[in-house]
Amino acid sequence: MPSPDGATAIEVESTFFPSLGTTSPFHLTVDFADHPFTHALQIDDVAISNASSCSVSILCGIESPKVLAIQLSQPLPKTLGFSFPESQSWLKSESPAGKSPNPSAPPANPANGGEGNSTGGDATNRCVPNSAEGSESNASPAAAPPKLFGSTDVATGKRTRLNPPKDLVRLEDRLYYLLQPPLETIVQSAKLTFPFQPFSYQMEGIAFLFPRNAAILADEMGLGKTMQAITAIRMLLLSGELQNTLLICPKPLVTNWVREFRQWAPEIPVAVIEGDSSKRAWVWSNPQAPVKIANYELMLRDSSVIDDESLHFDLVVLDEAQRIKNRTSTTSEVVRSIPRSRSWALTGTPIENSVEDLVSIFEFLSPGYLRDDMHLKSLGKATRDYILRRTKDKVLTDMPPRLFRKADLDLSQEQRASYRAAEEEGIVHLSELGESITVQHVFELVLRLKQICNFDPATGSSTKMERLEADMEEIAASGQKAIVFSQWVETLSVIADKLDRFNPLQYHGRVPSNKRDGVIEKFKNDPNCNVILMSYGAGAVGLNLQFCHYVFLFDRWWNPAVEDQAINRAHRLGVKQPVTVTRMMAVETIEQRIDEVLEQKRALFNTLFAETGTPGNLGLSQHEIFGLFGLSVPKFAKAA
Amino acid sequence: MEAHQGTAQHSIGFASIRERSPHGYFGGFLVVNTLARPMEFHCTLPIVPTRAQQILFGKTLDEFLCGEQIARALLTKSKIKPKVVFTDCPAALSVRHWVDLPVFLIVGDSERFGSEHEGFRVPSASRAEDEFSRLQLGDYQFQWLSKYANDSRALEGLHDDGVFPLDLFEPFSRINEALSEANPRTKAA
Repeated sequence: MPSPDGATAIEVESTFFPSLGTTSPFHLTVDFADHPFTHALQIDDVAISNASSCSVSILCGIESPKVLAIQLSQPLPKTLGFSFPESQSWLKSESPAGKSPNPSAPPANPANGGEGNSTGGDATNRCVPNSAEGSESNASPAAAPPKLFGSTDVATGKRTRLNPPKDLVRLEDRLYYLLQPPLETIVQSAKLTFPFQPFSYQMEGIAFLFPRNAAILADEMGLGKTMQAITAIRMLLLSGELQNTLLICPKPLVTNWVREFRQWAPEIPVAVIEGDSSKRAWVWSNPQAPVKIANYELMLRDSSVIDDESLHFDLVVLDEAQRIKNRTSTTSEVVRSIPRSRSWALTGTPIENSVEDLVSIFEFLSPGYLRDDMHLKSLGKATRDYILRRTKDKVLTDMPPRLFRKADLDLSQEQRASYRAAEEEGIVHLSELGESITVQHVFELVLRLKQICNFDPATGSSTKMERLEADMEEIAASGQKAIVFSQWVETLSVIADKLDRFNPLQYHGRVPSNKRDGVIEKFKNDPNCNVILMSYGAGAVGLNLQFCHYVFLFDRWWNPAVEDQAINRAHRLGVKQPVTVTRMMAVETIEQRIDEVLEQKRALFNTLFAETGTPGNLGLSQHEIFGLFGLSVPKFAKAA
Repeated sequence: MEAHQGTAQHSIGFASIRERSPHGYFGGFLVVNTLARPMEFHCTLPIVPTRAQQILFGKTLDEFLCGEQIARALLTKSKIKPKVVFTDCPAALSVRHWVDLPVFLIVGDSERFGSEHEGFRVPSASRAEDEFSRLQLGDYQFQWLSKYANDSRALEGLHDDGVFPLDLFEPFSRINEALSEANPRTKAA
């Protein structure tokens, strides 16, 4: 209001003062002859409370007052509001006919057969706008009040909040997550129990997965991706956002997942899709199990079931998601075709060979979102909100370290002779092939030479074996256990014979899957079994062998990511001692040449991943494979 | 007094109102159940008082905007009628004149969750000390308008229900985050 010229006083009259206990008109005159207009009105005792209307008279000396009318009452501010899905079931549960709310059995838990008001995981339907809301709210209070919020310990300190993902744009959907209580409160109020207290980074991982329709949990092996996924599923079931979840994992890991669900979410019924086709068809459509577990291998066989229009999952989780890195494979195509609302991928190695692996996983998460030709920087930026990757050295600073020992060994005389002969013969053969040479020819030679590095085919001589036996004597004497990895089952069999006195167990592709759990149990519980022999293929993922403090890489895999997975069977959560990893390598052989190339790649991976969130090429390229023997890639192979 | 469409004995309302210059006053109201899970939420857009309101309401401007305007709008929009309403904004207590719900100010450690930081101001009440009643229950000190002496029964009822082991400040942090999300311009630079 502008200061009126010549004004000497102001009168304020109000008609409604409930807080003063009167509705009598209130009259106030302020003389501000000696003061600027606005200053005069800021004196402490000039204040209106709860005035519904007000008129102001400006007194200008002896002339008739000019009157300005100021309307103080105004419509109430506009509000934005919505109800949460749970409110309906909560109010119902409070009605006289309903059950009294029970903190230990929340009403919206489909896993317990509760009255879920699920929206099927569709973010756009999570919040119920008030205008569309029914009047379920005439319920009267329940007779027996629950103990509110359980016995929450206020002083726990750490709170893990849910943050909406960036691709969630509707304000109501974003507020839906922002207004959820901290995870710790959900855990306490719903009386969820855990076999042990999750680490704070694991709670953050759960908070990352919880609101996301598309997510990759790419934690380093051993940080508990399984537990984080299970707990996120558990909480989503509890909140009514999920009713039907499908988890797909490699076949050997099915029993591991069942065991982990039993441990981390014992109240959730889990159904394994297995058996003959009729049994599988029944399990696929079984509505009683909110979580179903299938393996990649049967995706192909059950593709017709998956094509059924009535099949829909609120969430599909891919464990070891690098299994779909080849997007043209039938398995990948079938997995991508599963009707679903949410898609999560779990993998410690989102990129095994090239960024195309990551693009393939995104074809499952969000088809078309990434392209193979995207610049690395753009790729990193585009995927940042979808990928969570933590490494042990960042989050488990007090975890016992991995101690790497390089066992650089000279070949025995017999091995060296065999090796030289095979190499010379092989290179001559490759040269003779000329332009018809393929990478397969080179591979064959590499494999042959690597096998000689393990054992001399003629005499069985092996410096690696001698070293392993010596180390095993010491390990067994101290009551410890060891894992030995090789890429060949035949090699493992020979090692088993040589280590017979240490009661070795074997775990590889030729061990029937229904006997594998028994092998692991025996290794864990039998004090006489000091060593387990594993192939990289069967033993590299999903096993928990943290009671084992020695790992031997008898020969080397092509990809350091796979070696890391193998090592992390032992070096994972719960490990009490440092894990000693012995990498065996025959010097001045093909093994050393491969090792040098892979070390360079490992350094590149670490650099790229740290800076951009996306790793680079880890495997050996065609050029590098030919380069192992000083060969260049022929023109024909280049074109292919 | 405005009527609510529903009642929920086992729900609690939390009203938080802030002022951030130059954006104005804005508030949020969250109803949670006894598992701390959200049932209903309402918020306002920022309100900037007119110059006339500033002049004529003087010291009572905060109470007018926070109690009579914002909190009243929020509470009357709520379909669920909670057992009690807690606020961390002293100026919002005056909403009690307009709604038939016991309203309590929680005094104390509100800074933990961002009440008075990042340029936000918690609007204050301009009443004499003797206009407030006070009660210490568990770790919390509550304050309400003495005129509504019977409201203390609701508070004691909650205490008997065992509500006070819960963290009554925590929901205010949710409201403040939601308000920042709903009004991104008001976020601290």
